[in-house]
Amino acid sequence: MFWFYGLLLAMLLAVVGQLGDLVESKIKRLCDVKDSGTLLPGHGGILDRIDGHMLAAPVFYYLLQLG
Amino acid sequence: MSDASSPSDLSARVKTGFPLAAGIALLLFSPTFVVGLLVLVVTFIGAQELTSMLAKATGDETPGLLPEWLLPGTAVLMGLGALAGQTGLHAALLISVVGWIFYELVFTPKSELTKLSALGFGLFGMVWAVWSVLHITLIKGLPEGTPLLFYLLLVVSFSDIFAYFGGNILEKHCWRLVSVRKKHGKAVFSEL
Repeated sequence: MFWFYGLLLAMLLAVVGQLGDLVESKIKRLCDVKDSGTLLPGHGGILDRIDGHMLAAPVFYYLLQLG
Repeated sequence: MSDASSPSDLSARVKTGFPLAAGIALLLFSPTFVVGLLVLVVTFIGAQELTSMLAKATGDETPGLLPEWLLPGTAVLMGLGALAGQTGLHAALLISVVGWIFYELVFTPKSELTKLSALGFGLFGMVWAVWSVLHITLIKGLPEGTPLLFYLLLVVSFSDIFAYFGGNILEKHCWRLVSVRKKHGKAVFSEL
């Protein structure tokens, strides 16, 4: 059962991660910029690198708190 | 995850990606306080980037939508709060939100009511770019924090990697309202 829940959680986090990606893409499009910054060559800025984790981290944390 | 389409972009991405991944892997095993400080720095830079993007959106000749100090300042406040745990993070968010609403309501003249959109963007930035990222510190602080954080980074990173290469393989465009580069393939392969 542990592996089943782990898989289910991974699927949920993958969806939430993509949502975070979409939110950042929408903001960049609204602001008419390709990358959020230039700090990481090839990746863009920090926000480009962590966009997937931005929504996934709180979702994961509170799911863990719920038990 | 930004899209890198040309070979030179991909090369730069790989060159930066490996040291970055190695650094993150090493930091996973550092004490919570060190990870918390690193997440604070990352959040601070992310907050600056968001402020800068919003400033560009309003044009070079007008002042930026948000004061430059707002989101980076709240990143420091909430980052320190996160080091104290969940209650500290939530208390810092509350102080930031109430402080920002108070500041905007007091300093926005009646003739500039459109500036109230800055109020909304400020609140959004605090929650999306600062508060949410700092949950990484809270996860690290849990009893099984290191493996849990490793699991989160692994799942989301692999989802990003599969989405990036899967999207390029299928080449079917969607999400055009969001970004011309978003593809059906990205959504499908992210689940793999």
